[in-house]
Amino acid sequence: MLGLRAFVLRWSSLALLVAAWELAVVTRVADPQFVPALHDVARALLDLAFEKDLWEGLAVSTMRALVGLALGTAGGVLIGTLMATSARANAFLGPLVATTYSLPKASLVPLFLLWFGVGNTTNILTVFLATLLPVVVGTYQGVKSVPQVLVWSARALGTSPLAIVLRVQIPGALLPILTGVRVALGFSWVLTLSAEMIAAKTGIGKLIFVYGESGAYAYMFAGIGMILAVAYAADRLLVAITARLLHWNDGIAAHREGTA
Amino acid sequence: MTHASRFRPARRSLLKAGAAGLAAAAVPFAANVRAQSVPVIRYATGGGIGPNEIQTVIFLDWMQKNVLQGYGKAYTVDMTFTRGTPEAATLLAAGQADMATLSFAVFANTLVKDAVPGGLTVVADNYQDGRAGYASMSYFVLDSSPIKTVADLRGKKIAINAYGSAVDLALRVRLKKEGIDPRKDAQIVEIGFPNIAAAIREGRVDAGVLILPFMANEEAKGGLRVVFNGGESFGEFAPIFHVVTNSYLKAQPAAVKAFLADYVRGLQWLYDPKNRKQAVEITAAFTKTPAAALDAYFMTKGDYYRDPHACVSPALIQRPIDAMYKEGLLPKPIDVAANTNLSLLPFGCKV
Repeated sequence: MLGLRAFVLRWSSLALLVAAWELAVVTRVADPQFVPALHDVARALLDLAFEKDLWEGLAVSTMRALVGLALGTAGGVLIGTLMATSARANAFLGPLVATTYSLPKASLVPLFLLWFGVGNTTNILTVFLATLLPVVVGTYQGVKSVPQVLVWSARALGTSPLAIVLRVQIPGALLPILTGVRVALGFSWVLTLSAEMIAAKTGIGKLIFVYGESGAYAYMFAGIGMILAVAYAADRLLVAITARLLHWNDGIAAHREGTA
Repeated sequence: MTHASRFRPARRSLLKAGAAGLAAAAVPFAANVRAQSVPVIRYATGGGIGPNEIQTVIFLDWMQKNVLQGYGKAYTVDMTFTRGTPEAATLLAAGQADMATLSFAVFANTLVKDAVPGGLTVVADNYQDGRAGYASMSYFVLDSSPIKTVADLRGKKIAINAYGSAVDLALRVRLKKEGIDPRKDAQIVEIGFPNIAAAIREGRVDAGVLILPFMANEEAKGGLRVVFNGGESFGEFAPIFHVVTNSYLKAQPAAVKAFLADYVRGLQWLYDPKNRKQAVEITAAFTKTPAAALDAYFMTKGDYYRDPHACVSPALIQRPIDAMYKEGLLPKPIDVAANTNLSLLPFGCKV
């Protein structure tokens, strides 16, 4: 009973949004020419489901988002660990991270187009830059918050500095690191689509742009809906992996319940 | 059975599978090598889709297979969809595109800045505005608005899509003709094309510009009235057209010629009355626009004018560019005719 109540509470905001959207269009409060009714979006989605463009676009965009995220995560963990364990690295890289954190990465896309052309390199590089910094910050905070007594104990047992990082500090920092990856995962979709909507040959962002330009808003929202569904599924998968990896961690319950 | 003999058949199978795999892998490789011997034209669209940039329809898969004759033999097209003509020009400048659709404003700025190494050449028409009896970008007000003439726009809030765009320029030129200084005597605001009609209807702006397909949809709904159109600013003019980089034209003249031959072939097929139903259906399926809505204006007198041979007079591009120069939007004048080559078109042009 409690489970049902929690389920209803968890999904009620989304259900309310859906109902308000449909009602606004059906009652003509919103112009259906610009805000399509949700049943039209569903019909468009069904139509697109039989076209290879949607699935190809989705596959390409997902690949770009995930490869960029993987590179950003690898780079972020490396840089964050360096900054947290070396005062010199922190002094050298800290100002760079602090000043570039708020830079809108999408603004770099036209420049990347000039350098790398249209396609995967530009998209993946944009996602890499956008996902790098949240992981750097998460890793830095995570490694810094590992109890010093664990590091001392490992050192006392004769563990090498590298092994302390790999076997004590990074495992101890996994929750903040994966929280950073979760934030970065959201950025990866935003940046993939932003880059594809500026110039692209393939990708779901290109389709969304094409449908928006021709005023086919039901199809545009169908494309957005598909990417939302994939992004949501990826987020839930990451949360599940985090929970499995860190089932021993006290903070995991809060991470899992953060957002549905 | 010994240990070795037990594994021998498996190893043989593995070798066979490997050979089959290699052969299978070689097939697309061979096809790819063949495909690469055909020149690829990297084409950048200028942000329009379907009726707004007809090449996006002409080079669809179905058209390649059923209408075009040189595609896959004399050339292939690798089309990049960009957000607008400035992005298309960026790709040309970066050597990432060989051909593109550009607006007169972006074309002029690209030439003045010498942004594309080796320069650019106009090779064909896309569509023309201000042609008598055809659609023209128009400035609309509410039916009930007290604004009756251009003179009434003094002190009013007017929506355009982007500063420096073709519609912005048309507005500034027309206001000036009426003695209205667009910088001081009117408030010009930027709103995306899809939202301008709603802004007029909700009273957020006093007037705004509409282009196709929004213009056709809003006229069908009623309640809006035209104050002036692009033709009154420039006369007939060419808002967008096809360009090629001089370096690509020098390297692959036959490919460009074949591309243009197919472009005109496709255009004529689309305009052929006996193909109309199919042409509308293909375009509707691509743009996801209801066929009935498209049928109401696409390739009729309600649409922009497209030259059946894709010819465009340099004068139609020169006129708005001269207006840009007069308005201080261009640092120096340019000669469009010196950067135009219509001899690659299949039927020749009398311009």
